[in-house]
Amino acid sequence: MTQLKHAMLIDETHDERARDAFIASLREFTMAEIYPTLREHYRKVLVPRYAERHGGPPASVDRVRTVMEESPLYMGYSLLVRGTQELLWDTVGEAVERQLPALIEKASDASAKAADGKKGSLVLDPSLPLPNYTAAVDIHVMPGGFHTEIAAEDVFAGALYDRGVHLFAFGGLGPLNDELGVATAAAVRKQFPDIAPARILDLGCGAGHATLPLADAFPDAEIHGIDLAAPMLRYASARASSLGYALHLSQQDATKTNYPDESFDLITSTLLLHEMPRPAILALFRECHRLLRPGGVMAHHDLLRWPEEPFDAFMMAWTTRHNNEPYERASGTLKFPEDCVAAGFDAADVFVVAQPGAYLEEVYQVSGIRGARKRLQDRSLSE
Amino acid sequence: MMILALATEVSALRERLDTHEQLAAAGRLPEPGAVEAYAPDADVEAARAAARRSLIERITRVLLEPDSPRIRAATADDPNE
Repeated sequence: MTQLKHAMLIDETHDERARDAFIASLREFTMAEIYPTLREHYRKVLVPRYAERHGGPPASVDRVRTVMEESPLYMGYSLLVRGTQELLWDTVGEAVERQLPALIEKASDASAKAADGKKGSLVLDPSLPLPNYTAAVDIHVMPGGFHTEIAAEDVFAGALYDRGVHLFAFGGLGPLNDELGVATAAAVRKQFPDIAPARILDLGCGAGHATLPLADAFPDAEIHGIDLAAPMLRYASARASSLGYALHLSQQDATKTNYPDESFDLITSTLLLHEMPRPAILALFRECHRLLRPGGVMAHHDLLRWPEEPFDAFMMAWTTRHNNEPYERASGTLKFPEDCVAAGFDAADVFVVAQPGAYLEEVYQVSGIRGARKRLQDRSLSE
Repeated sequence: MMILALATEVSALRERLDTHEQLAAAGRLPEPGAVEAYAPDADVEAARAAARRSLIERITRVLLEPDSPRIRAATADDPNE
């Protein structure tokens, strides 16, 4: 579990590294050992006991909830996962705060370089309204969410997320936390072998973990990334520069960007949709259709569906109940192709590529890449 | 979760102590700079990973034994069922 060192990645002391290692081990152990044990306990002990009294297994999520919330094992599991999550941010946060002034200075230097044309660009918009759905909750219990600024020219959230998500996935996202982005780019290439995008837009690009793989997969393309959160964008810009990439980053809302119609050949998002409520996701699909050139593709890497089996559905919603993921179900219950058709795409041009969760296969067994290609000739115009 | 925070600190302290011992075994003084700069080799890291796992197993043992008498006792006579 070694994260690739780049100029923006925090330095950690001997003891901070040791704490990180313990927390990552704790997460891995919980997912690899305790979660399956809990499932076995449900099937072998809790279901038979329930069936004995009620004449059958729990048939709904509400029934499962009744059973589980009376189980000390489930309570222990929940405390462990939530406790580890809080500990993770607290531990990494301390290291980030200690060196925040130096990180901000490094980011400012990198931004100055990014400003000179070739090296990409960074455009922030302090007047951009933050949607309530983002402002109202600290997503996955990360203090302050992605957007809060605790200093001038702040990069705190970016530095916290970059290190934090690496530990959260116990290294499973790869040395650059880019495994999901690599998969997104590969899926697009495989699904559309003829695609040769000149301009690519990555929505909700955050620290740029999934943005840089687009540059690798499509080296001739101009890569743009947008996000609501200034601290993430400053960090992403400096991180990309230090790794030798030129990105064009700007602070924008993915449901209403300021790009002209038909600006891009490929629009992607990775782990963005599940942080948005359904109306915002539908608005994002409409915006993708507007921004895509004819023949262009939108590809979103996230949940593909929501489990129907009551126990799996109950456990899937654990993060919604206890880890500040209020909108996760919205992305899992999107209607494909209907929701794409409503945004202007043709049902025949919708695609789905299952991508088994690399590091959380046990829990997130329903993720992948899906989207749609915009018709070369818009039927609505020709009819 | 006080126990998790404490366990994290115990684990970090044990690794710091191990670093001291590794430095001593190499004939070096455990000065602050040497401790900070120390990078465990693969064998040392494997031993530390095993120690972390062992500590985690002990802390979470009650959750790994779903048929343990403690859990059975806590759920057997539940009046809500």
